[in-house]
Amino acid sequence: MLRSDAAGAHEGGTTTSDAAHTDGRPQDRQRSPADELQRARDRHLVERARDGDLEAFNQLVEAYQDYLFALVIRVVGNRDSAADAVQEAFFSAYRNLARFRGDSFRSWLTRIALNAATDVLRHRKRRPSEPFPEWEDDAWQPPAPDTEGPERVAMQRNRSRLLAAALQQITEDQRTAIVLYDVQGYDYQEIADMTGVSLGTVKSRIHRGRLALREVLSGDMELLRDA
Amino acid sequence: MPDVRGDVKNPAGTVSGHSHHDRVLVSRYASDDAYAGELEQARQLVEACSECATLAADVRTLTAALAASYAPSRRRDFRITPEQAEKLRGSLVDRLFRRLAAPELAPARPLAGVALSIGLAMAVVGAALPAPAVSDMAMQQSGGVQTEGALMGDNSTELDNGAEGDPRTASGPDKETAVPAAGEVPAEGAPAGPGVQPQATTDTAYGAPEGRVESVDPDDRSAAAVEREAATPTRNVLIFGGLGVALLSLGALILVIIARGRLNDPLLR
Repeated sequence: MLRSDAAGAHEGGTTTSDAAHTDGRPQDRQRSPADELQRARDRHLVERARDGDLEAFNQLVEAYQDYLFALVIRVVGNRDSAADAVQEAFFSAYRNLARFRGDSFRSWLTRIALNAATDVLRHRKRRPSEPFPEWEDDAWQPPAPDTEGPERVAMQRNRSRLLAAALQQITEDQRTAIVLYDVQGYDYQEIADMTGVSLGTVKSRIHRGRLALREVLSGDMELLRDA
Repeated sequence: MPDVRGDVKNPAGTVSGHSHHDRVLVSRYASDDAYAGELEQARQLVEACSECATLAADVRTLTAALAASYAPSRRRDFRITPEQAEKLRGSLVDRLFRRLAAPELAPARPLAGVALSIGLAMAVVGAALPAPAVSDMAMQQSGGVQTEGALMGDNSTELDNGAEGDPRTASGPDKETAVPAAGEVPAEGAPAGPGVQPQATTDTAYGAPEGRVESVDPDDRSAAAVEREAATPTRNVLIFGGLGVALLSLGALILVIIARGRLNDPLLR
């Protein structure tokens, strides 16, 4: 299981059955050489950035801005809000580089971005706005591969829109857990570390979230079958 | 918002009535996430209940669709400009506070707390040591003056008593029994003699009571007084050293607390 550096303490701890149980996902693996390489690169860049090298920090931004934006927009469902949250996350990371003491810069950054996304959602609760009109936009990531025909690309985008809209109708906790697990591929322990809850809570949020999503999408499940 | 929290396990473990089936269990089973002890029950549900089977299939479809989904592309470049970086670094004070709040200095707060406690303890212990009585010091000082004055025949300390050259001033009358002569100010606690007029006097050399002044003889100091004098430097070191340590550590503690409060970033919660 990948180890996360996120400093969040577990609220409820891990039960014996939680600890003994593995979810059998490909993500529950020992660190791959690529992971190690990425972490080593990040550590090197962080060290340089701490010494005042802005270019080194901007290399980290380039490495993670697409990933963070894709994560945050799925949580907040609004392009402008997501952009603001990601920008705030990078600002906060830059300000607090000296406080980064973990192993994975990516996990640390993800946690900061999720906190920024939570703040956006909290703010939106006070000032409700029109949800996700930006999803009608044509620019998507990842870009569709050339091998896929335009029909398939269009269908995939429709599915993505459908899922994005459905995600906005489940609770924020469930949404965050599902995005981290099903979309971003983190394992339970990493999500527990990043969100500061117990392993059991993470599993519960994911499974109940999937059931809630299915209920929201009950009329459209056929569209997703060929995913 | 869909509510899936009302689901309860069928206590009988039967597979009749989908509304009573444990849908979370089916979801876990569909994700290969069911515990070993639940596998059989989950398998029974999926095999015997068509709705549970559909649910399991839908969960698998959903997870696959989510993994393959796209997200809108960003339109903004989040790289930080030198101007933004300068602003984010903050003022000199911010940078100083940031250094104080850095993880390397995390032990500073408990250490300062311990130093504060030690300093206060030193000061309290020092204050509890036997102190040289103020009167002892006064005796020393005024005894010296009197002796010197007597040797020189200087009666300047007895300007108003009208008993110039009175040998009593050199030998000193007993405080308890001496009866002042006419015009002489009575010693403290001494009975006032006839014709005694209250009168301003400078007899209280260095502020010491007149009666005691005259009874001082450095040789008569008790052994306890000598011990107290010997303890004085230790006492002073403990009191002033302890207070110094306490003040310094209190200052450090306040600085660290201010630094942490000032640089507290809500996104790092």
